[in-house]
Amino acid sequence: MLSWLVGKAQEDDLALLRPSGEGLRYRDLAMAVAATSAAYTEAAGSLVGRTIALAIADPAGLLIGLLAALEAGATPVVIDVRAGRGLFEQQLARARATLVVRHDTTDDRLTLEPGHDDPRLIEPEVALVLFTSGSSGGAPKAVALGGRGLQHVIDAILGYLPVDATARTPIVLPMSYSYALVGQALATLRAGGAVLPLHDLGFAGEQLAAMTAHGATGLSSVPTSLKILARAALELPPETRPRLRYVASAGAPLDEATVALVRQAFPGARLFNQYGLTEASPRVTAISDDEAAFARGSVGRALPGLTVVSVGGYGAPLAPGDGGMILPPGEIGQLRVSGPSVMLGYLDDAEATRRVIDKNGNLLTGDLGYVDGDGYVFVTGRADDTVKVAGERVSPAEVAETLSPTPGLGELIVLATADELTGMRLVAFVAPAPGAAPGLRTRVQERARELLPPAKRPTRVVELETLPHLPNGKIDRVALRRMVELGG
Amino acid sequence: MSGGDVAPADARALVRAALDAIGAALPADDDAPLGIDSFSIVLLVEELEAQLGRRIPAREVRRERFASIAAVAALVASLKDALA
Repeated sequence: MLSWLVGKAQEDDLALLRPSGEGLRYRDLAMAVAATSAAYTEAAGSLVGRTIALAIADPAGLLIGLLAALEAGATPVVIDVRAGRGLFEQQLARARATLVVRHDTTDDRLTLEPGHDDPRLIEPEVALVLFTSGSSGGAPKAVALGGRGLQHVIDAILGYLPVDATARTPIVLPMSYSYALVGQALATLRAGGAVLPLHDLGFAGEQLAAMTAHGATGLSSVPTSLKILARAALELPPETRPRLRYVASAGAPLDEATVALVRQAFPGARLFNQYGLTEASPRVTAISDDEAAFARGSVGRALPGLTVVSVGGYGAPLAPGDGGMILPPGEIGQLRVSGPSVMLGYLDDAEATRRVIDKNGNLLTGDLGYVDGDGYVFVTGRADDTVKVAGERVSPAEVAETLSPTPGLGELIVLATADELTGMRLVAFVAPAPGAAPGLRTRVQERARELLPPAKRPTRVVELETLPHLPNGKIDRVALRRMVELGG
Repeated sequence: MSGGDVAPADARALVRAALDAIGAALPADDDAPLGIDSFSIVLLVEELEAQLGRRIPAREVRRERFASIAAVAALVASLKDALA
């Protein structure tokens, strides 16, 4: 996998930018990877068939740590360091890694720690493990991706995205996202281009300045981030904005307002809309704005070697193992993906795997949509209760479950409400239990900060004496939504 | 007043209210590091924009401007002055 990834590159070409601003050429990258891989083996012996947990916030360090794990014959497991403490520990436990790699920010180096007491053996075809949030129950799912599938997807991405050896690809999303790691960083290395990690969503002006300074050639992100960057770019004189060949969106619906802003901010760039999910390594479809279906909101046709169909019917859940019946063009159902990049399964969770991979190896995405007569895919919603907050899949029910044990809590409901910038955001309504100590709202906020990653935390927690109920006893969601709309 | 001056109490109160509204932890004092993640910076900017009724220019959304409650309050005060 490693030689396949970087085999095309010229050793004197820039490969990766470190946080210090230092550029690593492919030759330097190879040396850093070899040294790190040797350190892994020295610390733990043979790592073939073992997992290495990468708990590394620095995206450049994560990339080196990941490539070194592949070099050592191990399977890297990428831990989301932005997750709250609870999810972080769950991910680490699920990895059952032989080694845990962390990043020491004081001197920008990787540190190695012994891993799990009972480290797992893993099938050699698992090339990478990434975490994705569960739609219920709160447990993170460890997605096992195969090497062949990753290679297939990366080459398919390079088949449509203008990324080549001259590419300078800024990474503005967390590297633990499959979108950033596989769809951008690894694809850029495969093309022999340079990866510019710039993750800091909040500081768009700084991101743009760095993109211009380092000659970024394209930009891929979620619509929220694209909107923030486009707005920031429009404050700059056109000649100081990065000259982008392309701007690509994925992770959430690409609305017309964002398209208009991006076109205005980066007039020379081709626009792409894409669809995918971690369980599909992740890219499934893509479309550029020179195709008519782009303006109609399509996420494009299936990439070469993949098939997308809609199956079953809206509101008709499929039994585990049942791949459903393929619906005619234009009919909304659950989107089902087939092809070599479908994940191998969820680690240690055969039941969850059976729920999404049918007996023929097809992946049920949980997304609702349809495929038109020309093969263009349209995504219309979700089959479960999850929503996208700034491109991250979030289940209000999962958030409510995490917050429920807050001391003094009587009732709780978490609602998703529309937000112009982040697409959706969560609002929690809470009411104290009889006799509860004051300060419930603060305790709920503290618990959210402790246990949940940023996008899953309710951005508002509203404490009421009691929650409104319908005559049937259920919480009156409509009344609460009205309260949000009125700013209550 | 300029952005670097001591922000008036109402600007600090507005920043504290915005942090509270987005569920962020309040630092021990107004000069202590904000210590919020980048996603929360986005939410904080959005919340401040809603309260101020105007966009905060991206050129003002810089690390040092969001280092503490006092720093953000100075930014808010300068934007209010610009509106006045």
